[in-house]
Amino acid sequence: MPDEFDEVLYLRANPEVSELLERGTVASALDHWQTVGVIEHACGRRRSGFYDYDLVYDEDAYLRDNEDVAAAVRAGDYRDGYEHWIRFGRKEFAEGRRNGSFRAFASGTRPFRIAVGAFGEILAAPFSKPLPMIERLILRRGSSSVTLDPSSVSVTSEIELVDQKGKLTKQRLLLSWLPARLTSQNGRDPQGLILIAISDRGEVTTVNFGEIDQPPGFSGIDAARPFVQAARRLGTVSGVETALLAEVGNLVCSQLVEPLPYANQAYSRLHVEHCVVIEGLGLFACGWLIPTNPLLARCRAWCPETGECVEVTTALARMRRADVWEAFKDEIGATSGDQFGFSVLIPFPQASRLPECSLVLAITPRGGSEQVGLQVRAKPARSFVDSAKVVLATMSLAASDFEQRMSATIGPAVDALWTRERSRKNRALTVSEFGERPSAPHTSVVVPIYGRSDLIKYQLALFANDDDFRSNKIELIYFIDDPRLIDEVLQLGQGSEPLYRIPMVVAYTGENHGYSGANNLGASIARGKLLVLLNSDVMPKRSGWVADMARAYAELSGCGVLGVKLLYHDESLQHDGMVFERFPFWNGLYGNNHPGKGLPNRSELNAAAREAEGVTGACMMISRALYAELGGLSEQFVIGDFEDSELCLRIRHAGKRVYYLPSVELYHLERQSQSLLPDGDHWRWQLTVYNAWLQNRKWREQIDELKRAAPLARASGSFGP
Amino acid sequence: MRVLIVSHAHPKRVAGGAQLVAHQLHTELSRCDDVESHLLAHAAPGKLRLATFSSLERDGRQILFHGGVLDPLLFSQENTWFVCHDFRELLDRITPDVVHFQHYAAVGVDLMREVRNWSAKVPMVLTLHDFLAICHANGQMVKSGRLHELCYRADPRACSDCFPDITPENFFLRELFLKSHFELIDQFVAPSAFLKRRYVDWGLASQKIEVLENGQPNLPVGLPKRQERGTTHFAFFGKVFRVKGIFILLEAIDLLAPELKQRCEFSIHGAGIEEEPYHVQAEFASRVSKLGKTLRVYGAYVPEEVSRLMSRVDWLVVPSIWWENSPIVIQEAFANQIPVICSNAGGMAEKVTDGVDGLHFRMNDPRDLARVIEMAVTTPGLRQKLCDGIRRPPSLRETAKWHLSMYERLIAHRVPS
Repeated sequence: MPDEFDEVLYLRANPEVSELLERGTVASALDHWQTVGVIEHACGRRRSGFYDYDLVYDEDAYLRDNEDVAAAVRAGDYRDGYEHWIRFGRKEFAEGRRNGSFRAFASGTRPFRIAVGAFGEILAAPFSKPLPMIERLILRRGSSSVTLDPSSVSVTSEIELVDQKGKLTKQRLLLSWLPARLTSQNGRDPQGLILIAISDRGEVTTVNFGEIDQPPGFSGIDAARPFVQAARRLGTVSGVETALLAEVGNLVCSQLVEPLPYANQAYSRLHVEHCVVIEGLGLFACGWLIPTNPLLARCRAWCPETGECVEVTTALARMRRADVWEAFKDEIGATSGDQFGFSVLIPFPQASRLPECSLVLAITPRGGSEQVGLQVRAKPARSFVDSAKVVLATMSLAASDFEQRMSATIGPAVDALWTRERSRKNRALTVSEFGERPSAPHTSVVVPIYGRSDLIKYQLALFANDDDFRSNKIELIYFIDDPRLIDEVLQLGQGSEPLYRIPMVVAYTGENHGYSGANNLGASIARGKLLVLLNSDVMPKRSGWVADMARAYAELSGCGVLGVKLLYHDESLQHDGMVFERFPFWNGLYGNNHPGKGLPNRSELNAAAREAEGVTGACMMISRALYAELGGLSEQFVIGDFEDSELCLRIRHAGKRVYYLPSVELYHLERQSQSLLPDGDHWRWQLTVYNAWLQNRKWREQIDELKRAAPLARASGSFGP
Repeated sequence: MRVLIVSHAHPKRVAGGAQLVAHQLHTELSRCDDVESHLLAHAAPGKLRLATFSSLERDGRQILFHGGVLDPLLFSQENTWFVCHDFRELLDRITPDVVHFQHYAAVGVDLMREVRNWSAKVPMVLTLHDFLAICHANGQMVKSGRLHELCYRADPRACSDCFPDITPENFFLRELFLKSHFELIDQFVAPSAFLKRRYVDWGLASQKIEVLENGQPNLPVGLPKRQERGTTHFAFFGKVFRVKGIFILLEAIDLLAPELKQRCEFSIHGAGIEEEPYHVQAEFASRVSKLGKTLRVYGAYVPEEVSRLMSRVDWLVVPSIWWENSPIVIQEAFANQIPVICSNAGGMAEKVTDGVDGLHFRMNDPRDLARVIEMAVTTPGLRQKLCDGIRRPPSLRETAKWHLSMYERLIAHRVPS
């Protein structure tokens, strides 16, 4: 069935076809149309009944307005004006050479435009009497027309308007929505704009918006509000509200076509570069907007799908954008130092749970009544990394409001993203045992595996020469934190045990959990009284190191955690105890410093066990009960960093001590030292700063207290006096 | 006493010094009273057989080992089944009292660990024939690159310079891995003091390394008597590789004055050039053809032919451009009473004393070799003086006896840990 063909209307316009149907001469109305009707219609001998120009065709009006046609009809050239209209008049009308033939509804007050937005406009047509129920709605401009959903118009209750004669009358307004593709540049069109409403009884009403103008007293979106509210009160179909509000909203207005000078403080432009959904929390948006903060009166955010709406004027974090200044400096005369950039965390929990939503942002510059608004689509990014990268890109260590931005915006956003990422992970363990697993080992060594599995073989070859590992005193647990390596590690375990004769436990969940999660999961199946957390790239220098650590752990008073000396392959220091230090290039955040890193190791110096501010998790011994009591390593840190030092702080907070045992030395083949400065991998560096901030947020006071109470000398250690 | 000798190749399949020494030791031990010797040598699998082992020539004491794929960096079996099951079965059947590894290439160091797993009491000996544990570049300690510089000491960063695809950390891990297996060895044997020094520098305990010279078989009877001819005959014996200095020799010959060249003849005995890269083969062929009748290239020879071939030779030239350990050809030359002209470094300079039993020339220097050749031809009585200075190398029987007393000592002292 062709789209336009309407059986009911066709039969209404051509009653004789109904008779033919009854008699059975034709099978259906469509049949009649397709065989006979189409041709007759093209010749102007039959009305279609459903084409809109047929619906509104007024013979009298056409002949009245087109004298030449009237004369031709009188002369018998055409049967009626309709024939001329169909065969020639339509085309000429479209070309602007002929008057149309529409019945216009005259009203004392002319129709007018309420609001023009980027998406279309709201038109208001006043009626003094009630309208019939609208079944179909057509909007025409010139030769183009569009059928509207009848629910996209609404009728208000009576409102006072001033009519053309200046009289105050009570009118109802028919509000209708005109999509943008039908608007022209200045809203004026020689053919005019016609709204055609067809009631269920076939009555046709047209509203001729020939000249659209705003009557005095109406301006701006605020004017629309009472009409929209009225529409709500009227209880029209909900589609009106949604359609109207979705398209226009109670916030969005137009982008000013002619921007006013900045000096008048009303210039405004807005661009959202990223909008990331933070599930459970809201939306994170960043981009740039003109004006800068002092000149910004209001900024509001709104989600059309959920209706959540919030004022974010004071929550915006602003930053400099030299590129924006560069683009607009001629128009606005601002300085390059102005902070055009913005980022904001918008608390829309409901919107954040939708698969996709819209965000409408609107700003009002000081001194202007117009608002500038923008609507963007937001959906959750494909991966945690994608979302987190967007958020962390707005981090600026040099900014004076760095801490404020981290606490208010970036910190909660990244934390929420990471928490969600973690919550999606499956933590059900699969455990494989190779060899005879010790039933009551003294110590469990837990090694997380990521990226490389061949390191296991090296560790086994070295452990194999250590009798402690071959006795039942030590249990070796490998946790595969890299699902790509599961098969090869299981195969390695199968082949290695008969040769190296060291029983090993291999555990995995099939997911990647990060450093903390991997260690916590490995520790959860450990049997030993003591735990040794060991990195996969740590290789012992000699046998008996585990026993030495265990002895020291038992003997040192109040020992909570014990760390050891780690060396690079060239025997230089990799870890000689950790010290918290404020890094000026991190805006004064405490970072973990490894004093002496890379300097030659002098094992004879300062060889006695001593307390330390922190020890590295690359090789640390802790009682399993204490580890469980403290909840293990904190999994709040993203991917990996600072968990070991944070654990040390928690241990100290629980009343235990952090010890460092320099007499036990192992090699740590740290693959790539994480640079403290943003060279190389920027993203990883940003994560490091975030993790550092997290540690500071929780423990800054305690670290300050620690420094005050026992300032540990910096230049001592295994490399100097 | 039952001895198991493990070698990386068998000389009947692949010619080479280390495997020859292993085979000779096995043969000689088998002749000793109360000694039962077994030789396990790696060989490429035959066309039809799929088993890990096969026996050589119906001889009950020589077994070929076909199994496994080795990690080339670590000399470790990828599949431990060959070690823990097949090799274990061999140990159960042979029940050796001592296991002597003549090499670990091709078979893998894991065998050492399996022997220790099998018995805490059976001592293990390892003879070091080259610097393979120290140097990944064929164990030669010559740096990669055009200049072929000599390397004096291994260091993970320097090794990574030679092999940019391998990180210094991975070289360090290789060192740790190999050392963890060498820790299980009770006694090392080094054929030269030079090699021992290199391994001591690398980290092995000096008291664990004994310097024992490779033995030489007795001269066959009925050798033709040496004849005096008008020309002086210089010969090269061995693998015709670039690293053996073959191009130094060719260039030196070219540099000789024509009247001197007429008084000399040069021979090259040995195969190997066909294994070198194409451009090396091409260069060799063109240089050889340029030298004309002065030089003759004879191709491959078998060890049994050595004495007969050397009976016609006046001087042996060993122009290697790498350190060398204890070149078999030098021992063979001395056994046949021939003085040696060699490069002045490494194991060569240790085995040949300049002016006593041979002459040195500056390594890698064709001009200096030409000078020495000239000296050898023109100096009257020099050759005889040097011949008189030659000390006969130990016989196979002598070295076998040294080994036996070493085994006895180790068996008595091995304390299971």
